[in-house]
Parts: sequence; structure tokens; C-alpha cells
Amino acid sequence: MNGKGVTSATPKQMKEAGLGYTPENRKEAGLVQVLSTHDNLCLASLAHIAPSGIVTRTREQSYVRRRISDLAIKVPEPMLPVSSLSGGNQQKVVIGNWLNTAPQVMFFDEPSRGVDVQAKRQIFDIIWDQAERGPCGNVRFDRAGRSAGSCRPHFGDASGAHRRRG
Amino acid sequence: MTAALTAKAGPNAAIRLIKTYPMELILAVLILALIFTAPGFASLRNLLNVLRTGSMLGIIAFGMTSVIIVGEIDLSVGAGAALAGCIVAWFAGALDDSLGGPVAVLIGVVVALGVGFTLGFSVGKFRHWFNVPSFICTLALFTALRGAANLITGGFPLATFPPGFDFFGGGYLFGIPFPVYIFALTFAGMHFLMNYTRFGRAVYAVGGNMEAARLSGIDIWWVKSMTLGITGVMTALSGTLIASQIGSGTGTTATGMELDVIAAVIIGGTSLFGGKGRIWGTLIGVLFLGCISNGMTLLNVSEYWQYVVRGGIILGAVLLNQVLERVR
Repeated sequence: MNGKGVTSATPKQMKEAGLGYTPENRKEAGLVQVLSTHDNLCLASLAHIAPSGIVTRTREQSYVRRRISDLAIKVPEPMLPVSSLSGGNQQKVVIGNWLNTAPQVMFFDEPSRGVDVQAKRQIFDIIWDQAERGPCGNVRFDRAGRSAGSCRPHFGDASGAHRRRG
Repeated sequence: MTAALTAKAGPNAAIRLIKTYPMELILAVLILALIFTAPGFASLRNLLNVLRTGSMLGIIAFGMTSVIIVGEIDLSVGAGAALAGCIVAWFAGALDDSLGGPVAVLIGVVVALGVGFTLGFSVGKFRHWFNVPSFICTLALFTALRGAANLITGGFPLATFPPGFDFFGGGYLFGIPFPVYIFALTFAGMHFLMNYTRFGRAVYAVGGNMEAARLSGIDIWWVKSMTLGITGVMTALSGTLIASQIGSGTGTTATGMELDVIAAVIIGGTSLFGGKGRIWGTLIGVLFLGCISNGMTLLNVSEYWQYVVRGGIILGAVLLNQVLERVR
């Protein structure tokens, strides 16, 4: 990773190294269902949002608003539990949570599972969009190739683009 | 939905109030009822005493709230409080001649707080390394610490405190019992920690979904162990105040306190399933328990009935929360 060796990786180390990961099983591993959409969007990025350790809702707000508008998450009220959202919107929250950490490489593990067709399209648009923006390379493990046009694996440029941030 | 509710004021607004602040309202009704029925309840002296007794319980309950939110439990706080009192008393006796009373007590308090933290933190680490549930670990401590406290004192109250030490548990500062200040400070501290820090956010996340929290790069075992360690410190603090109030380190104090502490947390709306709960709710729970026991004593309700009523209240509070969860 950026020329540094990584051994016996923990999620924490990988996050600090600039990796993002959206698990395939968002209900059990991706989201904290009892917490609000707001909290779930800030879960992984608290170190970015609050380097001093002190967190306020206002400080988190800008991150939350940005992701909700960027990813077009349909959420009536960010403070309500994330479990009230549809599958597709929940998946976008998982992705937004990780984009807030400003990762250099994102892993998407079956991001289209249990998501309706329209949201599936949007999610893949998000992935392509992030891939094109440069700093965020994407490797996608979409095992069963859910739909045409989305099963082409895309590997982020391994040499140039990522180094810019490192 | 929300707009529709706000548009229609009147009965709907009242229902919303009940749904949002159920325990606050019940506490208010209880206090009003006691003012009119229980002789002497409304006197300043009595109210301050309710606060003093509640403080000893509440200091621990704020820590316990974080432990229960993170998805663990600590059954050892009663025994831990007794042990802390005995440690302080032992140091006060052993070092009195060489260092003088105040310094000896200070060393005792520091050691007691350190022991409290270490024991709590170790419970978390045991869960991490050996997968022993905190329920079992703290059940073992529940017995062991009670024994250790009695080993220190030899089974008799250790009345070794220097004169003036009784101020911390029994004295008044500006007309308010001293423990109430510690109670207020721990409330403010824990409220801040749980609502305005990264650590607090992590506690809720770990309690809500351990796997999601772990994959989000949160050090879940550190978070769990820290909540248990914090509760250990609070327990030692409360134990010191209790020892100061009764004037000795006694191995048998605070018997059954763990259940009252957990009851206060649950009455305050914290979920035993983890991820949900508020420090504010625990404050309400502590005041509620304090008023109920004091009120029943003033009304000459027999002690045995008091136990039955308290049991009913705990069950009722949980039921109420479950029902409200469904209608929300």
C-alpha cells in the first residue's frame, strides 16, 4: 500500500492506510441498524470529522449533507434509524460512510445485493463516478455479475492516480 | 407524518409528549403524588437526603449505562464499592503514623480507583482473549471482591479514617450534601463523553452492531474494556463516599447495590440489547428509584412490600419501553 508493507491487517490499520470496504452483507456487517442514518454515515470517518476526539452534530452535519446529496440518498429525516430506509438507500449509506474517510482504494463486495433495479443502476454509477475522479480506485468483487454493464470488473489505476494522496 | 402531527395541536400534542418523555412524566406525577400523600416528603431536609442516597447509586449508574449500551453487564459493582471502601480504610490505618491522615487517605483513594479501573478493564480483556462473557466474569468478581473486602478488614468494620473524612460522604457544602456535587460532575462528564466524543459514538456503534463497528475500523475491545474500566472507577469513587458516610470500611456494605444500579439504568430506558440508551434517562431512573423507596418508607410501607413494588416497577418500565418502541 503506497509502497509500505502491510502484515496481519486489521480493519483499523487498513482504514488508516486508505482502504475502504463495503461488506456484502450490509444488514449484519455494514450498518448499525438501531442508529440513525446520520450516525451511520459518520461511523468510519470519525477520526476525520473529529481529530481532537470531540464530536458535535453540527460538525458531522456537513459530511452527512454532502453524502446525502452526492449519492442521492432518499432519506426523509437523517436522525431516524437507518433501518427505515429501503435496501438501495441503505447500501448508499454504507458507501457514503466509507467515502467520508476519503479512501484511496474502495472495495465493493457485492454492492447490488438486495437492491432494486433503479438503485442498482445508481450504485454502479456512483462506483464508476468515483473511479473516474482519480483518488479513489475501485476493485469490485461482484461475484455473480448481477446485470449487464455492471459486471465488468474495474481495477483502479494501480500506479499513478493513488499516489497523489499518499 | 410529523407535519400532520404538529399541525393538529391539543390531544395529539399531549400524546406526543407522553411518547417522547414517558419516564420524565411518570417521575413528575410520582413526586406530585408523594408531596400530597407522604408526610414530610417535601421538606428540604428529606429531599436532600433522597439526593444524597441517590448520588451513591447514580455515580455508578452513569458508568453502568455505558456498559449496558456497549452490550456488556457488570454485576460486581456492589462488591466493588465495598472493596474500595475497605482499601481506603486499610491505607488510612496502615500509613496514618508515617504519613499523616490526609495523605494516607489520598493514597488509599488513588489505589482504590486504580484497582477499580484495572478490574473493570480486565473483564473486557477476558471477554476479548478468552471469550468469557462479562456476565460470568463479573459474577465471579461479585463473590470474590466481597470476600477480598472482608479479608482486608478481617470481618469487622475498619474505623481508621482521620477526623474530617466524614465530610465527603456525610457533609454539606453550601447547604447541599457533598456527594451530590460528585453526582452532578459524573453526570456532566458521562453526558459529555457519550454525546460529544468519538468514544461515545463508538460505544453506541459497538453496542448496536459489533461486526459493523469492527469493520468500520473501531477498536471494539478497547471500547468495551474502557466502559467497564470507567464503571470500575465510578464504583470505587462511590464506595469511598459510602465508607466516608458510615465512618468505616466495611466488607458488607452496598449489598445488592448492583441490582439497584442496573434497575436505575433500565428504568431510564437503556436497552439490554445494546446500542440504545441515554445518560439523561439514567438520571431520571436514579431519581425515580430514590423517590419511590423514600416515599414508601415515609408512608410506612413494609420493607418486604417495597421489594415487591420495586420488582414490579423494573418489569413495568421495560414493558413500557417495549410498547412505546412499537407505537413510535
